[in-house]
Amino acid sequence: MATSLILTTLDTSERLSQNERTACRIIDGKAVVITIDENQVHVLNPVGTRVWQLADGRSLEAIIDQVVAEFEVERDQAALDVCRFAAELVAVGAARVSGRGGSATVPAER
Amino acid sequence: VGIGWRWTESGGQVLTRFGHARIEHARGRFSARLAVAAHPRSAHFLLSGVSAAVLHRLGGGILHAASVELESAALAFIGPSGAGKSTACQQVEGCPLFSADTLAVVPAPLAAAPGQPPLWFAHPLPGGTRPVPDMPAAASRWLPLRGILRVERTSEEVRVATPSLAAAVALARESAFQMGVGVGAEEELLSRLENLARSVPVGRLHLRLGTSIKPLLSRWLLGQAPESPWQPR
Repeated sequence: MATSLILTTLDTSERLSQNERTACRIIDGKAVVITIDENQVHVLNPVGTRVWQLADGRSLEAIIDQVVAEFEVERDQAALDVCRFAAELVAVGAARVSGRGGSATVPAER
Repeated sequence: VGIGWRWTESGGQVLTRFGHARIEHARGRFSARLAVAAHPRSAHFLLSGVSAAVLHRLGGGILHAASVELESAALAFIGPSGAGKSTACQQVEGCPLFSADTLAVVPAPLAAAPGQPPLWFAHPLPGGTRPVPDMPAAASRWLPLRGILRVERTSEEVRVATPSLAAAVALARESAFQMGVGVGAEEELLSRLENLARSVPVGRLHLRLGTSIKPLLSRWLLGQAPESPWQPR
């Protein structure tokens, strides 16, 4: 399967917020998220749903801490996955980041 | 054409480019007063808006769906244009076409067995073109909604996959008419579609051209029938 590397340049000090122009419903532990302006429907898995719920303006660092506390995952892996997922949320218009600090580059496979 | 509507304590209001309507809901009956412009399609647009507003009041909505009548119930096929909804209808051998393009769906809580989620009923709506003119047509009436299938084409084995409830709601949302505006209207629609997906089986139909799917769908529907929590003594 062909893969390509994309670079997400989210710093863990950046704050992640749900876009106000989204509608969401949690169904059996999975979030169904609609981006109003794009009219796209997204279904998140349970971990993605938790990250989504935590995206209330807190930093990615704080979200990673919470994910590590709640799930069986190493911190490095959690940081990689959360940053990658946050970048995807931003890319589809479901979330936004603010308060960017220094930049760190996280390689992500797609 | 934009159609807007809202319900307040005093009743419903529907507004389109070509007219407006006021709806009253009392003692289980709806009545409406309509004012339309002298435009060939003004009445159609306004009545569509009135239909949507009334269905909303009843807890239902409108699906972009072609459907057939199977065993005295409606079986709906959803998906974007070109997905194969009409083709799927033709491949349910011997079943008449119920809706060509749009389907009204409403819950009927009192029609369910005790302890069961409400039954949902479906009625074909006018509009759209009739893409399968040689198919026999079912009588236009309310039928129990037996299942909803998102059509996806395949060149491999014909099959039905059952998605998670969240994925089922997402599939239904893609084919649901949204006439409200904004985040609140979207969240309300998701709530309704969750109610729908909790009551009516939703599947992904992997459809291969030219293959009869009636036996497959009958088996799938049989496997989706809920068991009653009440057991006979």
